[in-house]
Amino acid sequence: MKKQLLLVITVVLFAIFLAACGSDDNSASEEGENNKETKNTEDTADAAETSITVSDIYGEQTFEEVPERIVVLEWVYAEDLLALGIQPVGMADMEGYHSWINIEPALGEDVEDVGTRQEPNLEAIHALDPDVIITASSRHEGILDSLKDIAPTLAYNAYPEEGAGTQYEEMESTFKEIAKLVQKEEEADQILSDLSQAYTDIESEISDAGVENKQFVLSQAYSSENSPVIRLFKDNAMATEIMTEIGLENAYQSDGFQVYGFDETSVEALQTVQDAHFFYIVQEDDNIFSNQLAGNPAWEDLAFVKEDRTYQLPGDTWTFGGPLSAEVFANQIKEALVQAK
Amino acid sequence: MNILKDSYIWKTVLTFGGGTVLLLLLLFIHLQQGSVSIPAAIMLQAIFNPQDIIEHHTIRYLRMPRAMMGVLAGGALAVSGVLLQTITKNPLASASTLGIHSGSYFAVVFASVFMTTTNGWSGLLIAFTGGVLTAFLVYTLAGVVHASPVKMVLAGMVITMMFSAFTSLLQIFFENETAGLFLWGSGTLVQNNWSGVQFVLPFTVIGLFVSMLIAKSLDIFQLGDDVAKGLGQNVQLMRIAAVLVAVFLTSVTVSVVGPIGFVGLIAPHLIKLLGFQKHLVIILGSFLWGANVLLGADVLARVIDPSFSELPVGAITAFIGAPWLIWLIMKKRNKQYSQKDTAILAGQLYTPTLQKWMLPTLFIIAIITLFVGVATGNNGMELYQTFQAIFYNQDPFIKDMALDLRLPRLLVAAGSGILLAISGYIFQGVLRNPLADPSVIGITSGAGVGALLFLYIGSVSAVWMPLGAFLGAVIAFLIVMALAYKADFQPALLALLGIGVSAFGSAVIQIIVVQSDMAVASALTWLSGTTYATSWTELVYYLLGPLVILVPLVYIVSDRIHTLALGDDTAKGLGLAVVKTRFYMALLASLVAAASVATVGTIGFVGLIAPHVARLLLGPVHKKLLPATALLGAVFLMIADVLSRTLLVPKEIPSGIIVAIIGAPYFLWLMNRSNKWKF
Repeated sequence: MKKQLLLVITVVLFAIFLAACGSDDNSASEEGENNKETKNTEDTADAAETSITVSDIYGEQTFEEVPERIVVLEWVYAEDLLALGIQPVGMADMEGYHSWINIEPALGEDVEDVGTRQEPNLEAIHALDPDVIITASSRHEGILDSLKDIAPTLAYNAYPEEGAGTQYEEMESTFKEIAKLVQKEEEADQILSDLSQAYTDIESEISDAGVENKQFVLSQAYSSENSPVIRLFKDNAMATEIMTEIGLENAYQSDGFQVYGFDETSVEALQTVQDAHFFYIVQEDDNIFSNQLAGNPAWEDLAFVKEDRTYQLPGDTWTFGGPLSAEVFANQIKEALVQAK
Repeated sequence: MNILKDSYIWKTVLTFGGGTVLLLLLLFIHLQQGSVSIPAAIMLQAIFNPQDIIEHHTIRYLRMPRAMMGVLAGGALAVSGVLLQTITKNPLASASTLGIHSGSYFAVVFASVFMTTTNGWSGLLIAFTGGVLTAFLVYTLAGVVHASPVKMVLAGMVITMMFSAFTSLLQIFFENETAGLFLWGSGTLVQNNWSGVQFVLPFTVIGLFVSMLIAKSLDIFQLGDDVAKGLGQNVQLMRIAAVLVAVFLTSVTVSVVGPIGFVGLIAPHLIKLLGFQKHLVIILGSFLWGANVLLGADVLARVIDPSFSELPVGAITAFIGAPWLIWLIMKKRNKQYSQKDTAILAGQLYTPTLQKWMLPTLFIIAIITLFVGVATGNNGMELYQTFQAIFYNQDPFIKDMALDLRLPRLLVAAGSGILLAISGYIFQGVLRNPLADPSVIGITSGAGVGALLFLYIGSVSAVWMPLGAFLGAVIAFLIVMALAYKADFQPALLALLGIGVSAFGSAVIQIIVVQSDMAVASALTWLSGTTYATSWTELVYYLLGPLVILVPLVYIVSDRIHTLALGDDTAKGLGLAVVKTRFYMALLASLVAAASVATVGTIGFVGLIAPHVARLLLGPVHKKLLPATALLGAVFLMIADVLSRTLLVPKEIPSGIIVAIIGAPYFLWLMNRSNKWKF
């Protein structure tokens, strides 16, 4: 019996030895050294520059130089960077990003995936040797210390509590902070003023086209195992505010505050907003209005259905994004209204 | 005689007449509920004299299908419960307690991820297949005809844990494909039109009809196998037929409204409590009252959540049903669950030579696991480079990775593993129940409730979640103990009560998760237990104290645990205050478990399996069992941690899911070993 045991241990140790020798000898350590070297040269070159102070929801942080290697753990902040012409080195849940968000410029080919947005892979982030990590506080408060051990971390909250400002204001201020971080504040101001110019243009285009009814309802809908779930956006949602900016009026009013800015409800609730224009975002393969609700008189008899005031927006219309998504979205709304006219 | 007859008539009138009146009343309230208010007069008009106006359409095409679905699903589940209870001779049997729901649900989720379309027929077929396989599995594992009620329910629970783990795994990795399924996973009656009802109606009628046909045989069957055989009945055939009908009725509902638990438990007992004996009456009565229970729960769900953002009705039935289950257990405590139900699953692999070397070997394995774990990461195993980085050339990159990211995670895993294993060891010893562990006793789910309540109601920062978990665990323990006190801490009873508390806790968790606007996936991740991103902070704050204080304490009192394990009479003979000691030992075990849950969330199976493996290696009575159990727990969770971060790089799998996926099948194998009839 003793012999057998010794045999087992020997085999295990031998296997470990083999595995150790077999693995690619020193790729990782080389990579580490390389990163270190580049950093050192940068250090000396930029030493003279003044420091950058940026604030996130926890307070102020100072950076000695413009961070170049940025890892982003939430889509909207990646979008902010792209708007400023900067590609992150690492990004969480890239597959999801591509299916939900459609903006120019696109995410670069060589951006590394660092895992899910819920549980980003710390080793993958560490391996990218980032200068800064940008994330959403609501998702990663629990691992903030671990992230900070890897690199300075900025955390923002895209969904302010009741009375703490709107999602839109939050989007603008975070965008400006990120621009400050990468020293592109002028570009950011330009983008934001272009955006408000775009709003003004779109507003007059809508008026010029002769759209008189300015009432709208915005909905994002999906099926929950064959039953339709309809999200109706409330006034505190960013998408609603964008639509207000282009001169429209939200017809959907309801009690209570929702931090994400929408109520989840059923088709019944649409009866109260029948006179408005009905905009809906559905994924192509999950269109509850043409699948589950088609032929149902409770849907077909709604005034906006009968009078053809329903507009389908593409599935990758992102209502929780940054300035680029905002402009794409405002234009989509306009196209829908003007074309219908 | 006359009086008896009178009372029987009264009972019948009450059951069916009263039940019908209640059903009509509930239907009325149900149809009144919605996001727009419709006057009762218009509602009645919509039913009896429909016109082409939107209010009437709302009633006829949105609300009435939902109400009808409630009636059909409730009835079907109740009849299924009747059949299962009779056939298994187990008053606690139902589609949810036997794990059939979780099996069907897993099958449906699996299909929705990997197959193109699943609705109508294919959905039913998939749910049915999953349900039949699960029923077969549970029945076999619990020992077929010799299956005791407790063993069967415990087997059902382990199966449920296993399938839930698989389901969570799919939900975490296919977040978008399964996004809507989470709500549905708790059961909801929402309907778009009449197609759901049209689909379910014929099957329910067929199921009900077949149940009524075999009602007479069920009456005879209840008298016992021998009597039934003597009367010329084919017992085996009848058993299979009844189980198939029960699973069929269940899967019809699962494929349309999702798993709705406890209706199948409540309704049949309501009828039986009134004293009905004949199955024909019980089946019909259960159908009616099952409909009432489910419809009532749906009414309640929408009263609780006035925003009408769907609170799952299944959570409500569990919320009502779990206390009912507890009550049922307490009521039948002395009749049904005598101590012979707790069969010990003895080990066989041990030999004296092996025993001597076991502890050092385990220790070496633990150290090797730790080293391998430190050297294993996104790029696979890199033993040589890692050690070189740490000991020789001080490469800060790999060194940080190994010492700041991997080492603390592994140590947290090891520490939590030790705590969970020890906790399970104590529970199994003092309750003399081989299936006891912190999750079976209900402590784990209590911790989950505590943590989520802290987040949701207290809306405090996530940093405080562990404190909530700790408090929740202790409160859950006190509730189970207070209930068990009445029953002198009978082992089997305690385990069953734990299941009841667990179910209640899960219902509360579901309600909170759906109610709060929390990102469901992140809540799910924590609930499934994870060593993700644990750092030195967690190790020092939550684990060090318990490891240094509680573990030695356990070692000191381990003699008493062993004495209790010998049986109450022997322990009393040796001068031990059995009830008191059992309480304190169990409290100690709960504290140990709570510390671990607070750190890594709800990881099951470690506490269940580590002690078993230890017994398998060392034999059932051995003084080194405790340290061996602790080491096994550490190794087990460390391996799970390594797998959780390497299997699907760069995605992480919560280690609790890995543990369940390895642990559940092992445990089922263990259960199977103890049966006379094996696979």
